[in-house]
Amino acid sequence: MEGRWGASWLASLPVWLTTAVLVGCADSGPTGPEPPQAFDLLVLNSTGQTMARFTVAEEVRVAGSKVDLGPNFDGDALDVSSLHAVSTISSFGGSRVVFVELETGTVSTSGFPEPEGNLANPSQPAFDESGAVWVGGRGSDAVYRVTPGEAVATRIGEAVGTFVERVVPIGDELWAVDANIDDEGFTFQPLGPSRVVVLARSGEVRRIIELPAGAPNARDAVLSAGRLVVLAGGTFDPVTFAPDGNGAIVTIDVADESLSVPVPLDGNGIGLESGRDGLIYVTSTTDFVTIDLLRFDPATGAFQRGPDNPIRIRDAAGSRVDCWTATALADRRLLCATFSFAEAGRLLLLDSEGRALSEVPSGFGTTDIRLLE
Amino acid sequence: MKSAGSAVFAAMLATAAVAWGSAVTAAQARVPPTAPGGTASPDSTFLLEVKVVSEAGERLSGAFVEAHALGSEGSVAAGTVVQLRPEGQVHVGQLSAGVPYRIIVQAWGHERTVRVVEVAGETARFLRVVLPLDPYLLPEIEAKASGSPVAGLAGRSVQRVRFADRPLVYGSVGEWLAEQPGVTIRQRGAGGRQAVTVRGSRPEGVLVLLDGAPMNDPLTGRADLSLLPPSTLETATLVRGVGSASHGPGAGAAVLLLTSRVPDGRAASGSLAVSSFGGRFGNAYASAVGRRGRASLSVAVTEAENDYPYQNRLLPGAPTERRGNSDYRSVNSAVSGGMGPVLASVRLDRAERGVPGRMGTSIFESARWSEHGWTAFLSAESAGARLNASMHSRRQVYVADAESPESVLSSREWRVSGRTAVGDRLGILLSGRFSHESVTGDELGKPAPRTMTGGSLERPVRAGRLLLEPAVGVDVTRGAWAVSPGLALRLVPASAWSMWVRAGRGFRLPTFGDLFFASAYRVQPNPDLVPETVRLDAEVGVEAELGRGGWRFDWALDVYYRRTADPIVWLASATAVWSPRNLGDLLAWGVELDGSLKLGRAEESGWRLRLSGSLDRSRLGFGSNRNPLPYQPEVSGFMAAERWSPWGSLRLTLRSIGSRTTSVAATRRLPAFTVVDVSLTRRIPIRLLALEIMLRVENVLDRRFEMIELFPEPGRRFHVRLQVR
Repeated sequence: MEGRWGASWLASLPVWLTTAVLVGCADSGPTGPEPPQAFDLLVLNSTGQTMARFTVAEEVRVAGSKVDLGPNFDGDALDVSSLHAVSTISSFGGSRVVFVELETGTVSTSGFPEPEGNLANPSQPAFDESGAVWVGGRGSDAVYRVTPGEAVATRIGEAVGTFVERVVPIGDELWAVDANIDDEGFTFQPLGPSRVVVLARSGEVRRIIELPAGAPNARDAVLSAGRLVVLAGGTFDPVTFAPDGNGAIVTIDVADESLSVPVPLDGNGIGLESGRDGLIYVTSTTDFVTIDLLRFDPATGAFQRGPDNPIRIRDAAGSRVDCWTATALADRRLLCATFSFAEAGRLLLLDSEGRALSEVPSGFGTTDIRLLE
Repeated sequence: MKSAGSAVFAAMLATAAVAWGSAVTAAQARVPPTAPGGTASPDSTFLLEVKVVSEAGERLSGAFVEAHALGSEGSVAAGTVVQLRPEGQVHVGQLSAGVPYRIIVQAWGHERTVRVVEVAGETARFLRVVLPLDPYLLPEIEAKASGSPVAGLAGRSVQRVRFADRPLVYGSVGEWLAEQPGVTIRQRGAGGRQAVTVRGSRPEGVLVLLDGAPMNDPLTGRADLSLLPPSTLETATLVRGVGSASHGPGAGAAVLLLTSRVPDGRAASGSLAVSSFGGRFGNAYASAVGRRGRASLSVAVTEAENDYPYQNRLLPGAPTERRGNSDYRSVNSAVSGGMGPVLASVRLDRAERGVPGRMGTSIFESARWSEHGWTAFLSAESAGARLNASMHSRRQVYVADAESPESVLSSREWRVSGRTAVGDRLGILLSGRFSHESVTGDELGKPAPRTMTGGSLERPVRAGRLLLEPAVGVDVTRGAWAVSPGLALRLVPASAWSMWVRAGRGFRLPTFGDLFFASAYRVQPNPDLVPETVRLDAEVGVEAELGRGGWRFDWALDVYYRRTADPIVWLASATAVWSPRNLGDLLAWGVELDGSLKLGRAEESGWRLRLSGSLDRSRLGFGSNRNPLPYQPEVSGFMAAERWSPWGSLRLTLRSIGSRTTSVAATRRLPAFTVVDVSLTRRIPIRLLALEIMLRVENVLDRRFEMIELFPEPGRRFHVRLQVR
């Protein structure tokens, strides 16, 4: 592998040199090339129970101290608005929505209404354009709305599904992704096809879009290029928990609700992120140990770097890196983070081909990255 | 067999006078004024004739006796005076009248016994010592003749308590352990499981043997001490340091040896206790001796609601809530019997409790857990050889709520061990052990039983004031084998102090949970694990005693270091699927200090002040991480002030635990805390009965703390205990 990688790198060297010269010339001023635009980003450390801030320019650097999200924190997804970051705590920690003021780092939490209370088991949260957060209840099968400072979320829709993983606000509607798996029996096996339940913001169900059978266990979705891109995580062996390798990407045209044919991952899906370059970055695994990074173009509905040609992520020493989650800057540079429980994970700034440009420790158990505006 | 009964009765009398707070079996004996065979000596010295017999009344031919002058007045030079006779009578010569001596009596396969002897003016004395059979701990010491090899625990720090002597003091084994330096009890709130860590270890690094059978959970490798009330136990012995050479796998940092109550002459006792938050306890014990042997029965019933208030710090304003589903009920019983050198026991332990989970969540508000277990033990001894057999069976049931199916785990393990000396001149001690474990469970698939065979070879060497103990253990199981060497050295430069150095290696096998546990969601076992290995466990210690007249000061200082390679740790993979892995290394090192000052000449009344503490550093190393081991306090201390008299006793203790991290990520630290307990005991003799009433206030200052994050401990608690003997 090292030899092939070396040969590949050498083969592409002239292209890279030419590109670098062109980019350098284009950006040259009287005093030389201008540095890339700086971005701030947030990283969620699920097992470290912290949120960390970094700055990306030519390299990635730590920006400030970590925010302690509390002893009961166990969320794995993050979203940001201009003022707040939001994540969630599962029913093991009492079912809470966690807000962090970006300016001060102040942490506050909101609960869920009775009777489900701390059994609501919230899913991945999402801000809408007004600053409200929409979240599904994996345990309560409901959809909630909550704003920072509210003590208790408001239940909007009930009996939305069996395992609501994500609520995506689109226009005046809510598109709720229901994995439709058995969580009450703790088998987490599919009860039927995954679904997208379309609700009015007032909560009534308007339509149900059933996903194809080749897209089991829908676990995340993002809106991009007028399509809802849904990640079907795939199933696993109920005894050994070995992955079945049947994850897929399905897109739904928001305008006419037409479904694409599932695009197989040849593995089980882990993460789905929308890049600033307009492309979708998907992580998948075939063994729950190694992870591939794929690049999906929502406009064409096809992979640019699919399972047979994943982005090969290497650190500065040339060693393989398995990223739980990854996204891209507008200049197509990549950011990826590893999930590690025994030591701090790694946050890498990469070129578009996955070669490391810079690296810092991200924290314990990193599961999400969010670029700030 | 009449002599057996009187011997047992004598032993009971001797042990009844054990000093309060002593960690070993120690008794001060007034030597009878006349003695057969004694000879007078000039200048107020005398010859002490020690007769050592077993509980069965038989003379112990291999006894070993040491006499140490307490304080500096003794005309006996520092060290040991030993004269051995094969029939079990020992003459210890040239002792000074008016000087207290510590007489240490040891015999192969019997409990080490310490007596303090002082003779006021007479010239010849006779002392009879009855050594109880020690069926569980492989013999500490053997002596065939003067100067012969001695094997045992020379290079170790050992603490022992005889619960029967302190029936009201300790409500749990954990309470006693928490007073020992370098020991931490991890508990998930009142009524929760109690796990013990020693010298910066993890709980699975401490092998807990009850009547020779492992109590460590086959799934987790951790022993739950909350299941065993002290009232059904005879002794607890904590042997620090790796113990694989003697005990095989599992004893990476320490061995905790627990023994069920054994016959103790003709006696009966009972106790009742009530405490805050619905605590109720009762126990009864009866012992009898007859022509054919001896037998005892011990039964204990425990109940507690544990519905104590706590502050939910996860919610704004930290409102006060009441702990729920943390009730606990148990029934424990032990039957023990013996005939001559044969001892057998059977005990039944049954417990049922709620599993309340962390504060702030109701997901476990109906979760219940129960365990039924039985342990059988048989020990037999003949001249020069010893055989022990233990069997332990348990069934654990967990149910998430009333509507969920039960999750059942059953396990059974039996062990046979033996020991013999190979020739008097060779001085080699040979031990063998064989164990068989089998486990079945809903989430375990079909794990194969595990059989392990092992043995050890020891060749102690004694030269003057130097004791050298080399040993090597070998254990073999399918797919794995381990060699566990050890070397200990003890030097006794003077009677008042000694020092020791020890180094050894050990190992721990993956648990059945590590290898086979396959819960349906995000958990995978790892059949490719290798045993974790204690590459080096070493310590250097010194202990001394100072005393004159009415005071005595004992102290010990110990420095330890341990490196464990490939520790087995459950971790989430790169995709957050949980699985055990061999992970880098685990380094632990620290300092332990223990000092005790006793004031008062008489045993019936006096003062004692004890101070102990430890500095412990433990680092889990993986990649670039060297964060502290979670929940390991780096500083801990204990202080006890006691006053006792024939009227009763007053005991004030102060236990301090330093701050500790809550995860490998070390994001947060739980704050340090100090807990003060006070107990007052009144003794009321009524004819042949000894009635004791104890009032105890636990956590007097009502400190609120958590041993495990988000598992609140109760605040102030009141106990009333009543004991009749």
